[in-house]
This record gives sequence, structure tokens and C-alpha cells, in this order.
Amino acid sequence: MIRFDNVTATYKKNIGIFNISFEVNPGELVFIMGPTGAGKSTILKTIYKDIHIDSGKIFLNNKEISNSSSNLSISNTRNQIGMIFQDFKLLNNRSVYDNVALPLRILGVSNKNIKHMVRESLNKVNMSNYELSYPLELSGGEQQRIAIARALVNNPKIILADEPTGNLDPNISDEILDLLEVFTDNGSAVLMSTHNFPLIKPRNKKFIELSKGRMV
Amino acid sequence: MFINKVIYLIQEGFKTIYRSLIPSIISAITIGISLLVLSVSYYLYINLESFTSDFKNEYKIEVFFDDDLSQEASLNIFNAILFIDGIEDGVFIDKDAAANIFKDEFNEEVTKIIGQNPLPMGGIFGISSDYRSYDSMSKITKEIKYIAGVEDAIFPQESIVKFDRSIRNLLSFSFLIGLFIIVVSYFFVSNTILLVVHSKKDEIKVLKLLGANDLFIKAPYIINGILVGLFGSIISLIMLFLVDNISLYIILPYYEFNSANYNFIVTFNLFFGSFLGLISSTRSINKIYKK
Ligand SMILES: Nc1ncnc2c1ncn2[C@@H]1O[C@H](COP(=O)(O)OP(=O)(O)O)[C@@H](O)[C@H]1O
Ligand SMILES: [Mg+2]
Repeated sequence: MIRFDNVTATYKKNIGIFNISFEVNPGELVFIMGPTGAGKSTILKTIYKDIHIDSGKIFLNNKEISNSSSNLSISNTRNQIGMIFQDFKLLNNRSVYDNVALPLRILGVSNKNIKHMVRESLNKVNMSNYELSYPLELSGGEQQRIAIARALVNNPKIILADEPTGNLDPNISDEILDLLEVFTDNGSAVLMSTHNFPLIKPRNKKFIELSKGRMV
Repeated sequence: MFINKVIYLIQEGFKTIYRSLIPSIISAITIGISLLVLSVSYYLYINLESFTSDFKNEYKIEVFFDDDLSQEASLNIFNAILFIDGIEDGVFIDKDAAANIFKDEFNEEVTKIIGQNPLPMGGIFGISSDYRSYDSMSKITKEIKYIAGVEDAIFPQESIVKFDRSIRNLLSFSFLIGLFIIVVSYFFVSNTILLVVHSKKDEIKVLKLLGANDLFIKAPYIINGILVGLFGSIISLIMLFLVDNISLYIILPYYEFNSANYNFIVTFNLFFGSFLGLISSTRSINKIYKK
């Protein structure tokens, strides 16, 4: 589902990620582990095409995405990915409903289908009663659930989560991880970065360990 | 698919107004005031014509015929002159009328001084409004002078030149003012919208991360700009309506205004207002978007 083939991407000489190769299969949850500055976000950025890669190849759904950097290929790639961030990146001046609906608006889905899909997605993260709330009225954990609902609303096959628990209490973090794990059940591939080893250790999942931009 | 997007983006354009109410109101008022000034200038411009009719006495050509011409021959020439392009009307001056004019001007009876009436017959001709300029009047005067039997033709050159010049100055002045106002309001409005777009920088980033393309991100702001421009033109039209009613009471007793072409003014305001909103908002969003 996601495949890195000897990927190198640099900001400056010796800063970035180097010779990264790994694979995330359908239904799999894989962690990227490493201290701050190790290059975890950089790996995810190369997938959603926020930065160019210098060499190597990246495949999503068996299609190489690293061979084009046109605006169209950027938005096409992002449309097939669900993304979750440490700082949630919700639009605070829009209701929960409107936030979750955004990816569908971008795709031009009809209002009727949007209603249905948004409800389903909010249901999955147990936030059905918050449709009309605004992000800042919610706790951090609740906001991250909304962000997850937004990432899932489009039923993407690939979900990227960049330190999704970074701003959350340990017990809330565990709940968020539970949610992400559930979504692998229907065949999605989830790639999540974290510097919190104790959080993921009990889960016994595949993980990629990074140090200074290299796999260890 | 596409139509869902269009509907959504137009709705977002409307919502952007109340998401950034104060800048939108300020921009609409700015556009409104500019359009008001432009409309009033236009109003004054089309009234210049009726303004010149107040100075109708100045726009006359006096023609003197040869003094040995018979009354019949003089009348023939008089009628021929009436057919010249630019001549609106004319009064025939026979010997008696000429004597009366002489008496009015010099307070003496010409027959008493000289013993007979030596004054030539002639005519005083009014000029139609399109020809009320120094150049056209010189041309007509020249043409009249070439007619056999015409001794001389004159018009009040100096005052016409002066009047011509002041009208031309007034026109170029109001044109410059209009241009100035358009440019100022363009920059003012686009900078105001710039503040709005700037405060939405994070929002724009999020939309990009979710895979929105340029058009999806820009359209609400551009639609918002057009709407703000339309509101501005409505403000202008309301103020024009008030000005129009007030001027009925203040100015009309002294001066008769041409009624303006209302369809033109309304269309101009709506079109130009939305155009101003469009180019201002396009400038702002493009400026932020490049970064
Ligand atoms: N936009 C950027 N420009 C230059 N250097 C950057 C940029 N983003 C990240 N870096 C550098 O690249 C390295 C990896 O960063 P990042 O992938 O954000 O690490 P992590 O997410 O693991 O904390 C760090 O040394 C960081 O300073
Ligand atoms: Mg990071």
C-alpha cells in the first residue's frame, strides 16, 4: 500500500532523510519511532508531497507518486490520503460538521452524501453529538477525534498520522491509538509517527526506528 | 460533482462576508463612495451641455450683409445661412431692426446723426449645442463669410475661447479625480481584503493539505470580493437616490438639471462595483498565495 524504495530527501546537506526503505501493507499499522529531529515528519511529508525527494521511489497503491510534482498530482495524492497532525489543524471558525465535511467538499460530493458520510465518520470516533460544536469548545482529545473523523470521512486506503498523540494525556493517547488500530480492520494502511516509545511498546506492532534521518 | 463544488464555493463566498464582517463593510463603503463620486462626475458631465445653454447668448454669430443689397436678396442669403450645419436658428435684422440695435447700444438715433439709415441688413444666428466650441464656430463663420453678399461675420471669440477652456479644464479635472479615486479605492480595498486573506493563511494551508486545488481555495475570496463590490454599488445607488432627491430641493429652483440616464447609472454602478471588487480581491489572494 505504501512502499519506500531507497528514498533520500534533504533540506540541506546532511539534513533530511537518507536511504529509507520500508513497506506498509493493507490492514497494517506501522509506527515511525525516533527522537525529535530524527526525520519522522519528513518521511510523512514526502508521502503527501509537501517536499521533493532527491532520489529513490515512493509507491502508493502500487503507483509511483514520486515521479510528478505538478499541482494536480499533489492534490490527487492528498485526496487519497487521510492525514492527522499533532496540532489537529482544524478550522476553528467552522463547526465540527463543516470541518469533517471539508475533504468531501473538495471532491465535490453532493450535500446529501456529505451528510451521510460525515455522520458515519463522527459515529466511528464517538463524536456524533458534537456536529454543531466548534473546535475550541472541545478538549484536545475530542479535537483529535474530530481530526480523525475528517481523515476517515473519505474512506481513504492510506492514513498518515504525525505524532497524533503529541499534545494529549497518556490515557487519551491510548484511546486515539485504539481508534487508529480499528481502522486497519477494513484494510486501510496506517503510518504513524511518534517519539513516545512506552506508548507503542505494548502494542507489538511493526516499527521503523529513525535516528538522524537514517533507519537503525 | 462540479456543480456541487460551484454551489459550495458561492456559499463560502457569502460566508466569508460575515466571517470577516468589518473589513467587508469597510471595503463596501469605500467602493460605494468611489462610485458615488464617479456617478456625480458623470452627472455633472452630461449636464455640461445644458450648462452651455445657459450661455446661449454667447454662442451667436452676427452676420452683416453688403449694404447695397435689397431686402429680398438679403432674405435669400439669410435663409441659405440657416441651412448651414450647426446653425440652430436665426433672427433677420432689417434696416429698422439694425437702427434699433444701434439705439440700444449708443443711445442715439442713427437717422438723426447721419440723416439717413446707413446700417446694413444682416442676421444673428444661434449655434446648435454640438457646435458650441471655438473651432466649430470659427469654421462656420468662415463658411458664412465666403457667401456672396456677406460683408462680415463675427462671433465673441474671446469669451468663447475662455469658456471652452474652462469646460475643458473642468472635464479633465473631473476625469483625473475619477481616475485618482479608482486607483485609490482599488489599492485601499485590495489591502483591506489582504488583511482578511492574511488572517486566513493557516486556513489556506490546511485546505492545501487536504488536497484542495488553487481554484477551490481562491474562489471564495474572489466571490467575496465581487459581492462586496455589489454591496458597494448598492450603497452608492442609495446615496445617489438621496442626493438626487435633495438636489431637487436645493438646486432645481436655480438650475434645471438634465435628468440622467438612470439605466446607465445603475448598470455602471453594479458593473463597475463588482469589477472593482473582483480585481481587488484577485490581487490580494494572489499576493498571499504566492508565499
Ligand atoms: N523546512 C525545513 N527546512 C530545513 N530543515 C528542516 C525543515 N523541516 C525539518 N528540518 C530538519 O530536518 C530534520 C528532520 O526534521 P523532522 O522530520 O521534522 O523531524 P521529526 O519529525 O522527527 O521531529 C531536523 O534536523 C529538522 O531540523
Ligand atoms: Mg515531527
